[in-house]
Amino acid sequence: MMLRNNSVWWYLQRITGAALVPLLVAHFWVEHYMTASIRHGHLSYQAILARVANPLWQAIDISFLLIALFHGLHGLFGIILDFGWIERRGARITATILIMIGIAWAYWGIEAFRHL
Amino acid sequence: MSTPARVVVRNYTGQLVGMTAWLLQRVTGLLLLFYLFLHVETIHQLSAGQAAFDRQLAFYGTPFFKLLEIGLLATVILHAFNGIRLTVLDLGIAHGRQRKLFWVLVVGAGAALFVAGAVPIFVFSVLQR
Repeated sequence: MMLRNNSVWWYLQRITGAALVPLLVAHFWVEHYMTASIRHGHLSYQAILARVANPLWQAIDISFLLIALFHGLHGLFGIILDFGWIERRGARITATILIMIGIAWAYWGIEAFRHL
Repeated sequence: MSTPARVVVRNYTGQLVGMTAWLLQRVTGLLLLFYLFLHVETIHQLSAGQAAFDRQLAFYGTPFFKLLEIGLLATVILHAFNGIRLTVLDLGIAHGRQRKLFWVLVVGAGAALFVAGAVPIFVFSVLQR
């Protein structure tokens, strides 16, 4: 699937990339100018918790993580393929491993909010 | 007769700007993926409680980490701006002007944004500490 329909994955890489730009700008703005700044003081447990306690922020942060993970791991897959060392079968195995890493990473990230 | 679809081919071979952009995108991409790991790890420390988490944040607030943060800003800007450039080229906009786009968008606008972000970090978190 990963190899038979390359253009879909290429397209998704562009779409997620385009989504990451405003998400990252907003993330930067909220953390460094609204939460912590020269005016508001340094980033703190309290400041982060106050924001993350809001389910909407959790949803935004989790979406951000999932989009970034897809973009990052798919990008890594592209880098690995570019070396030209692996064939179809190797690529499929690599993709499977990366998907598993992605799922574990996503779970690990979402889990960070569980005890708050 | 319908017009044939225009195929946009990016050929990096022998093009110094294109090759640099290609390499830069891969290197910064790997760095950002590594940073994402560290970032999730830090957020995970929220469950360690206020005292432990604030201690870790104070550690990340030291001038050394602030300099690394400036490096992170540069990495993000390079990756994002070059990514925008690639998307614009893939859309068929600015086709044939990819080198100019690299200098104006990635180097020019990127450097401007970098200075705007890096100077306050350097002045307030590195020099005045």
